[in-house]
Amino acid sequence: MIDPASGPYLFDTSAESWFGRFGGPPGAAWLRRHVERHKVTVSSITVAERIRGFGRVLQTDPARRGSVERLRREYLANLGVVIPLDAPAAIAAGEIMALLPDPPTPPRRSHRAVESRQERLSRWRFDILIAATALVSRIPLVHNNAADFEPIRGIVERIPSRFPTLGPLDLIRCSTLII
Amino acid sequence: MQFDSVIDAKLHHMKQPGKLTRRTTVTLPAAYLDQIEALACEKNTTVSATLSEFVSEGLRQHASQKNGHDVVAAYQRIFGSFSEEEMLLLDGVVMEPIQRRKR
Repeated sequence: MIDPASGPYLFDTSAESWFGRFGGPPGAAWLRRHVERHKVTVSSITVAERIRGFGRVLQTDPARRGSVERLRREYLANLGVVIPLDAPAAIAAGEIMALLPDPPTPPRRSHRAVESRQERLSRWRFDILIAATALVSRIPLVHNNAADFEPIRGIVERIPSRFPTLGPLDLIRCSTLII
Repeated sequence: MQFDSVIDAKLHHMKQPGKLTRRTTVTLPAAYLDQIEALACEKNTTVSATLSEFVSEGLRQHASQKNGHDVVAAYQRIFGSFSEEEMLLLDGVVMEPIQRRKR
């Protein structure tokens, strides 16, 4: 178990969702204790990803405008620290994108719907931007998306010359916070 | 628990440079007051200043705890309100319906 008093950590988009839906009482207790010491820290890319998501939900179900708007406002009201994408993070992200141009896993699909290659690529690039923010800020990244973040950690470790003075990328899976 | 130490019996406002203070009466367990007085003496400061430091830290902790409860409750409200498909959208996964070919 990771000491909740330790930190700060950068919470990926997937980590926020994990605490809200899958963390259960142990996850909630961990986050409560963590927030007693640290503000929840996210990348500006997570905010962009999330606000885009609220917008897409509204497009698919305009009848829910009132409730979705209320939840969107509540999300924004509870934002802690938002780390903007600065030049060093952009440079690190560009290096990762050059080294890992293709997403490590195929587009998501279910029996009724499929993610386009273009959407999968943009999601992959969002994850690279978030990882680069954590790398440059030297803050461990808490995530629930090992499939995308582990390859990034691996490339930073394998080719350190492309990331001078940076690294390693410290990753923490949500589930390991409470075990 | 004994509440036998009265710090002050008067209530009035007193302005200091950059800091508004107010005198009031509080009743504390005698043992606490003894410790506060000993600490104040050790740090060569006043009982009021020492007490203020502890109150300030306590209030900060209380606010942090409240904030922690608020954030967790907010996450549960926000992300618990959406279906699995909607959560995919909120997590950045945008999927389009598969077009079935007509035979």
